[in-house]
Amino acid sequence: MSALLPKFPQGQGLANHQADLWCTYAAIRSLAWVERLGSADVPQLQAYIQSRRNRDGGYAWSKGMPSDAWATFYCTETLKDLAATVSDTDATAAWLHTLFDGDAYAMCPGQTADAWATHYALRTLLEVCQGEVQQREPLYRWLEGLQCANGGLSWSAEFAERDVADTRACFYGVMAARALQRAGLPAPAWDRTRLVAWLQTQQLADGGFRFSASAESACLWATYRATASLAELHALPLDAKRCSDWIVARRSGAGGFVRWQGYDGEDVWAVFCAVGSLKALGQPVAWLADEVADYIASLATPGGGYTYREASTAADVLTSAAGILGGTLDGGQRAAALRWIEGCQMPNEAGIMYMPGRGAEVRCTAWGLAAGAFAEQPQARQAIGQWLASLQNPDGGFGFWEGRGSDMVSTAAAVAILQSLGDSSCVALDGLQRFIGSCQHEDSGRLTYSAYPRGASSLRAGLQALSCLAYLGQPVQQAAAVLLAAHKVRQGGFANHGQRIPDLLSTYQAVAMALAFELPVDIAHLRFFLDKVSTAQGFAWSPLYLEGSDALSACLGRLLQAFVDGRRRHLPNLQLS
Amino acid sequence: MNTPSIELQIRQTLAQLLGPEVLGIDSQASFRDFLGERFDSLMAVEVITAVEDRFSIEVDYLSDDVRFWFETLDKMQRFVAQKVEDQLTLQAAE
Repeated sequence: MSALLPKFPQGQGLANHQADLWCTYAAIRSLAWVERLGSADVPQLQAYIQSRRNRDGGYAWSKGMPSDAWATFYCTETLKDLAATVSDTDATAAWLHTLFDGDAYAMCPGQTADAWATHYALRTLLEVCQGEVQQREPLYRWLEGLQCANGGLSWSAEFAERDVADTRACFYGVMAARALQRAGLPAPAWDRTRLVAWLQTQQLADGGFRFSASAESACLWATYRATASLAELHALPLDAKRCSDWIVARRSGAGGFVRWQGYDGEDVWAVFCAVGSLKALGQPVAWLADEVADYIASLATPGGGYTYREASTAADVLTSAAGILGGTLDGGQRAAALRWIEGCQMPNEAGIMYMPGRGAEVRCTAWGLAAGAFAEQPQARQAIGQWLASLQNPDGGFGFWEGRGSDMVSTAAAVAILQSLGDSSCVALDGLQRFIGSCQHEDSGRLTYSAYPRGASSLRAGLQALSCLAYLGQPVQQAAAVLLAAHKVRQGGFANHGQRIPDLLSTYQAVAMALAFELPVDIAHLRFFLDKVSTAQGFAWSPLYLEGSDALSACLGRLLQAFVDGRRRHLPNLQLS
Repeated sequence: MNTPSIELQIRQTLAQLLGPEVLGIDSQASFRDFLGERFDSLMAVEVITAVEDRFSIEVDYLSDDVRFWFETLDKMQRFVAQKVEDQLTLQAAE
């Protein structure tokens, strides 16, 4: 992509005023590294983490969501750092085994394995649950297949065949190997000399590291992943002194760190990466302890947990886009929110980041574009198209972000991006169709779709698959009508599974699909459902839990209400889960 | 042997799901408060499903005002008793 200058997002985004799991992990790990855990409110943090535990033994990114390997790792690691008990680790280990796809571990049951998920699952299984790897032979074959011809590690064996290495994939591979070794198992048989050499060559002249040759500038995230990997491999950067100087130079006046040179927004991940890198380089961090602890204390939210910057300014793209799409902002606020979203397109990854400084995500990019971001900026739109193309997985689908296994939500969000850009030339459309085909099943003579190749069928996955197939030019109207009828709840709304328990997201997507394909919508049926999820604050996700409402549910509810009231004829193509 | 009361059957069913503390909750006490941080839409579905399975009844998630009828154990037993009675009436009419 063309050079994008680092910048603090201009304008004014909207915040959800909630703690974030990854921010909370990064905050606690940073405090642990500088030995200032005493400043954390342990009982409140324990309650925050415990509320994410599901009955299947896994943990979710937010309360009420399905379990995934990413959330399970960050929840259990945070509890470990706090010296708190991780309850019923046998159940967690049993759930982690369900992630094994025959080669390695996936983020969710039924999904295809990737390096991120395999790292999270193995470390949780071996280091937290003291569990055992059940199928070593295919796992080692898969791990060993991650090494590229250039020496670095990739996201999967298929990506390795394309010689796509990344410092993050190296970190996940190397730390998974460390977990195996600590459990008394051998390390994967990588050529470590070439792995070290590849990592070392990612150091730029200024001293920091880049993700890979395709990245244009050094950042603290890549620097931490590279230095920690090198330390585990008993190696150092070629110029360790310049590296530590570069890290210290990212320190800001307020006690935090910034991710890039020239960037003026400090955040919790930059702090985490800076302190972790200095530790990996064998540098002292005690001198940073007071200011790091003070900075992190400013990120605490009243309900427990931490966000990425001072809570009142911790905006995010989904909440900001929801504010715009839901029609609650005046002209000035709307323009300010759009400018803020556009500021979340940052160096190295041209998609839109959920929070600036975090990492570009497919779903957030789709919401940002739907809200109107970059409408008049062809260069930025072209960069997004190229970034999206680089994310397409060998199976033809898309994952949440770079290197993640494919899922139907992200694949449908990728198609929504292509529709917004009006250009699909960078993407392999035959691959897209192949992935959707891999998630297709037959149930009593009816075609159904799941979010992952080996997942359970659902309404939303079906709607997402059909929207992709329609984009590919296939006739789907009849299939859509059959699918909607199968999930229409008698009294009102649509259910993701079966036809008994309606929810707002399924209902939104069902109505949006019906309108897009010119299928009839039962207005009285929809109005009855909306009345059941309407709250004083907006709309709830489920009629069973009216406390469960946020900016996103309010946005979808308002859009549906506008349709019911005759103020809208179509609904934006918005994917969430 | 006497059949346990509906309320006791509900308590026994939910104790399997939520732990033995359910056996001792005041029948007028808020079940939502008892669940505390565990309460969300998934938990609500699990509670309702467990009661449905125990009594072979079907709850309508929208029309039956489940937020009201599943608020306390006392309301649950009244709701279940009514549903069972309705079911018996329907069966007799067939």
